[in-house]
Amino acid sequence: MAEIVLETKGLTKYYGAKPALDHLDLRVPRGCICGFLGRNGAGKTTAIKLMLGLLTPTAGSATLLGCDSTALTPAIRQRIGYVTEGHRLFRWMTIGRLEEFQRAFFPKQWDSRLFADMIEYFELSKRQKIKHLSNGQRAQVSLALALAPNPELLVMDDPTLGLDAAIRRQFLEGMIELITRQGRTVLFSSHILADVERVADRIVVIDKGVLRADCPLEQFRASVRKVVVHFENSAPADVELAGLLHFRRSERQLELTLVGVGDAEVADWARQAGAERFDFVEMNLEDQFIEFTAPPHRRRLFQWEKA
Amino acid sequence: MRFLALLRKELRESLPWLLLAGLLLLGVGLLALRAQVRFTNQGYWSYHPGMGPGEDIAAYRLVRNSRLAEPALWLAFIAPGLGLVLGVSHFWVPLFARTWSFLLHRSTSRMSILGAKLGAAILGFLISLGLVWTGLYWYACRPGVFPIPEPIQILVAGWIYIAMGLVVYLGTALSALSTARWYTTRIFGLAFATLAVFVMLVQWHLGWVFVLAVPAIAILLVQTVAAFLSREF
Amino acid sequence: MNAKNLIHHFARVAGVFMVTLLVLLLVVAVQSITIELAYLFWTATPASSTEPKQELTPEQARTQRILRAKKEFLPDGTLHLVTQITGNRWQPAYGSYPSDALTGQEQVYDVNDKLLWDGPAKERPYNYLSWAQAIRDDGFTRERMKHHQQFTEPRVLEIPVGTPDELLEIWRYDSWADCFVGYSLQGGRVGYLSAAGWTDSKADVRPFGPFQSFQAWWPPDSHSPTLLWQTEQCIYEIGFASRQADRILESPQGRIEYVAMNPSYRFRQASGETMARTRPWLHCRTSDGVHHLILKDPDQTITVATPPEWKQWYGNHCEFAATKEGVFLRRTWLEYPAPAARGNPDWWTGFRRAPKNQSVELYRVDETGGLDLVNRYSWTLPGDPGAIQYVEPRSHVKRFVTAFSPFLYDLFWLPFPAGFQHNLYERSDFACQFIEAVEEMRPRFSVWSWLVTGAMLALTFRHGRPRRTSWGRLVFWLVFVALLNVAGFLVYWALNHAPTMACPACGKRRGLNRIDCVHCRAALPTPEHGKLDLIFSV
Repeated sequence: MAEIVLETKGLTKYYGAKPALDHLDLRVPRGCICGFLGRNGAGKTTAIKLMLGLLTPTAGSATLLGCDSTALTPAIRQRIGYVTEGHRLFRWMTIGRLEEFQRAFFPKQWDSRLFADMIEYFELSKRQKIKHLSNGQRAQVSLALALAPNPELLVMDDPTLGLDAAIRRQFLEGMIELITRQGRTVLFSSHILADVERVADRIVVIDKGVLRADCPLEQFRASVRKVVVHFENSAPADVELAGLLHFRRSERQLELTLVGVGDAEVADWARQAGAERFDFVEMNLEDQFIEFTAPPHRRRLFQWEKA
Repeated sequence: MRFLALLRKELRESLPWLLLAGLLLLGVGLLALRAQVRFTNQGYWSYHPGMGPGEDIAAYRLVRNSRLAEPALWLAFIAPGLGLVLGVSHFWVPLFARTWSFLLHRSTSRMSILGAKLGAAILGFLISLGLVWTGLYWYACRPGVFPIPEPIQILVAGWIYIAMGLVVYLGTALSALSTARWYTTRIFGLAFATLAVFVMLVQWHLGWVFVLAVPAIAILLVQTVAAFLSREF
Repeated sequence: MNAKNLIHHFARVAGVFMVTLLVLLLVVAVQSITIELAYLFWTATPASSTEPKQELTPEQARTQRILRAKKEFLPDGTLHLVTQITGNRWQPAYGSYPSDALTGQEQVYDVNDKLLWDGPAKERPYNYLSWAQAIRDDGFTRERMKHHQQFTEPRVLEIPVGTPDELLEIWRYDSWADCFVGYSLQGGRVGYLSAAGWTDSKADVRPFGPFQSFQAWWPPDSHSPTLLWQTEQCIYEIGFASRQADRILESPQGRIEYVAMNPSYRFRQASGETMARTRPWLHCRTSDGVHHLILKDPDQTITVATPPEWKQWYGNHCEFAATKEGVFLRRTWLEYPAPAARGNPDWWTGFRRAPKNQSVELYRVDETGGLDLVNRYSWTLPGDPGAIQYVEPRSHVKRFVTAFSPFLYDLFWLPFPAGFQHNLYERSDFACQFIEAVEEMRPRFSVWSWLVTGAMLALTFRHGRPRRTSWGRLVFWLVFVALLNVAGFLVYWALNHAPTMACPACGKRRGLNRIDCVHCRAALPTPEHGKLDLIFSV
């Protein structure tokens, strides 16, 4: 049984009368690279901040490395690296001074060489002031600051936010290189699915504060499928199929998005519905995520036929 | 070492404001003292005309302002101003710059982080204002500068104004740490500090009124500490 | 209880105190502004008091002349009525005209209405007794000295000693030690002047005592000013050039209330026939009603104890004069009972309206302080019927506005020592105005007050019930609101603003400041996970 480094039980946070996070139950094992997905305002940052003790939960609890999140000790914080959303650093400091500042909190575990290597890799100089860096460069410095202490758990809140494609690629490559070196546990939130697909081995999907998916990436990829069913005559107006997420109907076609439905079940249904043939459509993670988290009212968005 | 790192960071961040306040006070003080030296060198009787044998003397002719009265008046504004600026710099700016998350995820307690900020503010006041003020007083009391040394009351007055600056600093911090809306209770920290300073300045002649600085600081400090320890960022 | 909990408890108490103070000030400010706006827009209507202008009858003219005349005594006790003629002669006036200037035309009448002299004032042929003038304070009052005694006072009181060409020493008043400290301009201290006289050791200094006022003048034969330093029970004459501090009067029985002196006390100059005849003297009145006369040429002290009914108030006062021939007392008094305490407006209205007898008496004072009546003159002060009655608009609005005042009003002063409020009122203009403004907001416990308080209590209960974390806390706030009325409700509302939601179990509103519903103890609703969710936890 893998050791659990991060666990939440019924973690809930209300803002006003509305829950931003609603009874999140999550377990992240050691060595896992967990992608934390959700639309804007889904509750990802709220969840991360609750886990790191920056917010107080309305109900429930979170435990990091065996310590309650509302009482994280300095010793536990030393073992956790955190890349903040937007990479907000002290603008008046130089990279070198920031390194000195960060190092003071990790006197024994700071890896100066790793930090220097990363700065060099990202083509930065320690004399540069933070306020003169671009968003991407700041992201790189944040990553270097978070990784240099060799943390057991790395939490990153939307680390590629605002970065262009080239910088994102460079950032991720650096991240992959360093993460896979020593088997760290990583939890990172993102709404850029391509990034998640590249590095994560487990994904967690939150929608309007509620947990919708918590499974290995491959399982998610295999579970969410789209099939186009062709009919000779008119396609049926309604669809009764277990695992149906939503469907779109045109004159002679039905486009079905399904969750956890096997090929045989699809074939059975198509035969019963009188379909001429059916084809599975290839989806990337982004397509699957969009379909999986689409709001219910969108299920009939593209119904052209009048009721 | 961690606390020192935090303290160094806060001091370095506050340095421009501390320098500005200290230099302003020093400049004003030296200018005022030089003017007083020139004035005094004209001779006592030159600025007490009509005072001589066979004259009634109005009381105001025998009362003069301390030679540090004008710098003291400046200090009464510089200190609260510095308190406001430091409070904004320490507590408001990280909110807007969103650097609180980075700062709070240090391997140290929240109390240490707050302690570093308060320590930097106190040290800043002591060095940039306290040291300069005491230096000006020492200079004014040096033999040969003025006929007789200045009374110690003016030195005490300056230190009390510095304490008022600390009151404003804590009021600003409390307002920054509040999560309420401006038009409800968020402004109360600053309003309370302003009220305390106003009462102390307007009622300075009551003397004991400056003792109010102690409970004002205590009330604001305990609330600031509690707010910081429990605030969500 | 660990340190963190302790801090939170203290912070909560401090927060309640701070917010309560600010809200109370806000409520008082709003109440005052409301009343003042009513005053601004609701103008007062004076009662009609116009009377047609009439020509004065001879009797009225005589009364006016007597009223306006100064009552002057000759050394033999004869009384003259001296009237100054101005452009507005015979205008209605209350009391006598200002007495200082010897300018313009004067008329001198005797008590039988006989005109004795009419001409320029400076050519008047009569030398009347001249009375001691109250020493002016030049603004350096007891209050001002209290400022000097504060440890933050930026001003200093300094007395120079030197020649007109050269300054030799400066004596500075040390407000903490209550003495004068001398500094030589060559450097170093030259000594201390205090109630113990001159000393070169600070250990021998005795403070002067509670300050009242001082007078300063420069004698012609001295190198520096002389001070007449008055404390509550002593008067000192301090000469800095001679380094002397002489106690010329000590009154352990009563506080010195009034000091007057004549100019020759200060300058010993003979100028004018009046000055040549007068002796330098100082007149002090203490709170026990005793008058002390300190005379010079020759030095003499006379104590005069006056009867209790001569007690000083608005219409009654005693003055002294001292010539080479003798010492005299002039008593002016009204036949009207003094008010019991500070007169209220109604008392003053009645006082102004009633006609009163006024008298002036001259007494000769002997060496033992005995009084021998020399002359008396009486006249009638007519009443002043023209007092204008104003309809006070603020009183209507005040009745409504004070319904929002806290009931806890008088308990506020309870923690402070007795007399603190009065002391503050006396010592500080700002505090005086503030206390008066707050006094106006005193609750009247009217029906409106109870209704407003009831409404506040109902609002508090309605707001607090779903949000309560314990009944004890809710009861505390209800009592708080009951005592502080609107201010209490505002404080409560400012400090208790947890959001609420409808409980899915019982349907009632519940606060989100606790995990379970306050009514049915149900937990927060959990979301339903659909069959389409892919949750495969580790």
